[in-house]
Amino acid sequence: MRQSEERSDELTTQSQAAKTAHALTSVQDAPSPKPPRKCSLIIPTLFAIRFAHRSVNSNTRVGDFLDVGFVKFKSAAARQVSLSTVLFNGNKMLLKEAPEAKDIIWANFYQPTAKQNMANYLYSSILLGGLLVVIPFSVVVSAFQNAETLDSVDWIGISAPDKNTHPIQYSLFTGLLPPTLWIVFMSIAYGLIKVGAFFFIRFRTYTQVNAYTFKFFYLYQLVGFLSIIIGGSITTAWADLSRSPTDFWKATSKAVVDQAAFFLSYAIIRVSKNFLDLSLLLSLLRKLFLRLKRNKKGSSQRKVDAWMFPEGLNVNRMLPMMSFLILISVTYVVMIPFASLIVAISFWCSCKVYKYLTLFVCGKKFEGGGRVVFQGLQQLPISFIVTQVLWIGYLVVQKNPICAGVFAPMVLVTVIVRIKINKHFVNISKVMTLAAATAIDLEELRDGTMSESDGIIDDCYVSPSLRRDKWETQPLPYRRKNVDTKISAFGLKKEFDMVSNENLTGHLAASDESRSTHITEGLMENQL
Amino acid sequence: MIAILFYIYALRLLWIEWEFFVSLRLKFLARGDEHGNKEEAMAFRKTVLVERLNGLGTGAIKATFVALFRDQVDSAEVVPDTTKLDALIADRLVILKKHEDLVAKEQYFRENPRYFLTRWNPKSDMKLSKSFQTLSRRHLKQPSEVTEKAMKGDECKIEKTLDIYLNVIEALNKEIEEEAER
Repeated sequence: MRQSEERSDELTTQSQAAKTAHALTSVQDAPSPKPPRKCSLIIPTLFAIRFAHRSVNSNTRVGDFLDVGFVKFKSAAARQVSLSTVLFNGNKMLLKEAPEAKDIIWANFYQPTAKQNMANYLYSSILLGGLLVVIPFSVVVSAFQNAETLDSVDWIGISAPDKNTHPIQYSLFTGLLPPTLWIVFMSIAYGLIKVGAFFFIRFRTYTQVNAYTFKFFYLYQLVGFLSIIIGGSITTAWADLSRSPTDFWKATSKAVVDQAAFFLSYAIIRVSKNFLDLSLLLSLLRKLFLRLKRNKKGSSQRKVDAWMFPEGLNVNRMLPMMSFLILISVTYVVMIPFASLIVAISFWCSCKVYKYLTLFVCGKKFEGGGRVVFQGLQQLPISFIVTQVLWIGYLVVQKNPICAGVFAPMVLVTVIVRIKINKHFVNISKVMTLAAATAIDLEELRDGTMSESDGIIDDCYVSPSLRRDKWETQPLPYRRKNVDTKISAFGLKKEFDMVSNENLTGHLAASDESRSTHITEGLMENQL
Repeated sequence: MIAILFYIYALRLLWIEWEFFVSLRLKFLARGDEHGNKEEAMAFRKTVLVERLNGLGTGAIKATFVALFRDQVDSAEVVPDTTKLDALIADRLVILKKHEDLVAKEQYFRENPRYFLTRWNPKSDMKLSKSFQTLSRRHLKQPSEVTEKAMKGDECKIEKTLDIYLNVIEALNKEIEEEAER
């Protein structure tokens, strides 16, 4: 019998009153979590990561249990009420909405909450410090735009090919190299942020990892965008700052226009890459190569299944990568509408592919209930405000105060819209309302689908290693004999939901028809 | 002027997008992933994650919540520490894969010996790898004489290698059962 059950049995032998008193005092008397040690803040990053991993097993165990658990209520309404109450004084027992089962990263449950918070502060500080790398890199990238600016940063040790003798090399060097460098750099930054969120902070859900990554990646892109614009002139006009500040600002504002070529090339490369990702051509070619290299018949059933498994499109990566394009298209929509047009086409196509999974080889990944879209939509007004302030500054420096004055209220309008969006949409999309929860309970009661699980938590919230039905105790046979077993084996891969067009529309139609959905939606609309 | 019109249009589109998105988001919060497992979705809307338990066990947590929310708690469980079990299951998976790979190679070799010889030298699989030797030493309590020789690095027949794999899998199955029971 499991220890958890033994403990439970001990308690059930006591009277109800004694049980209640015992339970409450045991929680109240439980030791408060220890504050993070200060010395951890000064250890270098790489060592800190190793340290955190090693300490997982020694510090997180409390007997045979971790400091995390799940509690299931009989009704959704009771759960909502519990989430909105403070249970105890002090820093004891935090309640959060349980994540979707397929969103959980079980390996990260070993990281205790206090340690996770500490790692979060530490890594966020490191990432903020990383801006000191982003800014100089952006300046260097923008210096590649032409030979003159590159000469002014001669400490790099790279010079552009001669424009007259090697015109093609020169145009490739100044046109193609800077955006490519920027894409590579930002991809590395994205990877580092994500790896840190996953392995160092050890967030417990994929959604948290993606949200954290997007937040810092967006910050990097915003700072990088401004640094590229300023960096285009700062290398040549820096000397003017002390002599004539006006000339410096003029040169800097001129860079807003000068860098348009860089951003246009970036947009073209990025959009092409996006189309390549949407086509899944690279993934398919990789699979083809693997199949040529390794013979299918000489491979195990497990390997064959892996090859046949469909590739998935990842909106959690696509959106952060494309957010820089939005910044560009919004900034240069008047000056280079062509760039905005190709960005718009790219987004339209992406939307169609993601929504309908137009390619038969696509698999749909769990997206955390649109958490990344939720974040992207919140960041859009910030992009608007940044570009508006940029253009107002440009108009002022270019001695066009009337235009700047006419355009200035737009910033105010955007700020007001952002506040209104926060009030109307953002706050209510964070948690389910009590009204919606009650409606669901009523619906379950009416349909007779409400079920109780006899005091045992649902399988989906039990650690996968304890789920015997998931265990593989014997090797798979060389080949599966019939189609049914193949299909059932294919269906085991639950992390991907194969949603065909028919299924999707079928689901939507069914949900539209059901009366209960209308009740819930009606209540939700009232909430809005 | 064009810029002002553009921004107004963009903000209007953003508002519409939010209206559309919020209805979907609320649906997700209420019902979970509708295209996924129905039971998981039902559990999702009624379950909370409790953090900072500071050493309290499943029984204590359940009693606490029953006391606080009378007749409303269905079930409660503290996540157990399954580090050892995870490691054992990972070991078993490694050996399962090894076994399956070798069976596949051997099977195909029987059918196409000439063609396959260019890609696979059976001798390469007649010695147990170093990692497997350590793994088998850890889990096989009483190995037979032939197995012990193979575990020391001596060559053995493919059939015997497969047998050793199965023996280790069997031993691991027992260990995993015991650990899970514990």
